Amino acid sequence: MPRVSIISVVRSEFLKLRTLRSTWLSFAITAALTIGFGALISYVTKMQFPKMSFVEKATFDPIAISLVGTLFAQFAVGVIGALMITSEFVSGSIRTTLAAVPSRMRVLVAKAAVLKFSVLIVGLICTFAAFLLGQVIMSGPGIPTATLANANTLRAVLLAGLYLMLLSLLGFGLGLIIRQTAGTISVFVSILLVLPLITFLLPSAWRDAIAKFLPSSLGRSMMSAPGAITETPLFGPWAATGILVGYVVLLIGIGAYLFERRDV
Amino acid sequence: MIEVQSLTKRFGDNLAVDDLSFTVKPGIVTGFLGPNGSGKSTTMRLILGLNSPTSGTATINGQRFAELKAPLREVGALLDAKALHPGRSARNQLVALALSNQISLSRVDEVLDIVGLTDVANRRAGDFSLGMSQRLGIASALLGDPGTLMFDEPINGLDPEGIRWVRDFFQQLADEGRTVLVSSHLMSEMALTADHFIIIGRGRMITEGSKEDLAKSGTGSVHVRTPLHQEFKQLVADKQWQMREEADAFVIEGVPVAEVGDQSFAAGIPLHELSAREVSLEDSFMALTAGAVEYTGRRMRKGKL
Repeated sequence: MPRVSIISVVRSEFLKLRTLRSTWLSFAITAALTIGFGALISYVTKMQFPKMSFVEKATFDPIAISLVGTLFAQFAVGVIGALMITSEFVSGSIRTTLAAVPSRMRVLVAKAAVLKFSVLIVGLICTFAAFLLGQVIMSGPGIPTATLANANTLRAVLLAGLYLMLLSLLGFGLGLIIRQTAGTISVFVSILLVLPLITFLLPSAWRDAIAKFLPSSLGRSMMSAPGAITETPLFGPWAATGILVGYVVLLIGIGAYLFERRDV
Repeated sequence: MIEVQSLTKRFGDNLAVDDLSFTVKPGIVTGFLGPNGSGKSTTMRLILGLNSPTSGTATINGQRFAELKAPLREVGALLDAKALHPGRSARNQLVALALSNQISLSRVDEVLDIVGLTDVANRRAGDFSLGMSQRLGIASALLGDPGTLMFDEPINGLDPEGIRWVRDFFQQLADEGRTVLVSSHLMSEMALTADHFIIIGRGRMITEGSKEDLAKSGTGSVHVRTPLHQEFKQLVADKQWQMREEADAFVIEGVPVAEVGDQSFAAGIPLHELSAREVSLEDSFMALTAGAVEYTGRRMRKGKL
């Protein structure tokens, strides 16, 4: 007799994700912000380049500039991740879901897998498009541009897509714990926008020690050229990726523990 | 078959379900009754493993819900008609459920047809009326063609035609040998829908039985009017009947109407009125749950709130 399997639950969750308007809207916003902002900032930078100081020209990072849109798109993918689980709690449909699939871990793994796959694909398409478009826009006499033939450049563009995926999982993990859409998005936005502001109020020694652990700083490490000069010290790209993966594993782990035990 | 044994659920200081035991048998419609907040929905959630019990067990065909390999094929449940994502179409809500349990998609169209939602299958479920949502919920319960069905307050929001349809439909499901548990806080509704009743209040079992059992637990009365007051009172005293006097009639409790008529005739007492006042199931239900009502409204005095 056909039975519930992880594959059948993944198919169900994938259908649920793609049959919502909010999913398509959020992905459209992700694309518009990553590619659109990347192109806009690339153009503005190109116009400014002749007037830049020597130091500015020396630290010019065409990779980071073309990928700057991901720092806006991270909010859109965070919302996709959060809604994936909070919409079920808010509407009460989680009961219908679990009355069809009693194993909560199976539901959780399926949801996370569908989210990961979808955001990674969309994220990579967006970051590659943003990068290529940005380089085309910036290319001109005297302006350095990057090429994917360079291993470091390819790494930065791939990790930018991965960053979006990890941020959506961060939203998912928070949603699993908080179970409310508004609360989850508030906390998510606070972590990305408010925490960096707070670190700037700290003595510089503390700030240098703490700021590099923030998800937004980890994102910059992941998608910048190595050795880029920044206002606070950053981790290397792979260390940053590892730390961000650690955050995601920790949050989803706590969320899974609570999801397994709490009533719905 | 649903078996509930010593089921208890505590939320903080509140005992929502208190040592509840009952069996829901196949082949009949079982009504699950109780006032608002009496623990009916919590009990159903406990059966489905959505809430974990403080103690006790609930099984479906001898298995805990979490152990079922393809749950929708064993038990279908409508818990809350509005508990669905408002942005998804009715059909896609069902397709998502069907995919998770590997149920064929032709069955989705079949159940949509059974509940009469084929024409609106592609509309957003959020735009549905409560009655349409109830039909969609019934469709999702039927999806896996399960032997056990649970419906929590399925009649709320249905129009009269829908209520009649649902009643006949539940009966038909039971006649096919399925186990059907239907909850309601309205005895008047359940009297027409169910064959067997489980009545709870404040999370505890109050009584369980067939329609006849319940009707017996509240006794009927016989109203008598006669010009020969003294003679009739003498008869009542001789027979040791329970009687009270109302404005212009005698009311005898717990004696069949035929018995009162026959004895009056034998004693040569002419009767101007002899009528039986039966106690409705609703009256018995009100009497049974009187001590267990969680929220009591105040009767409004004229012109004052």
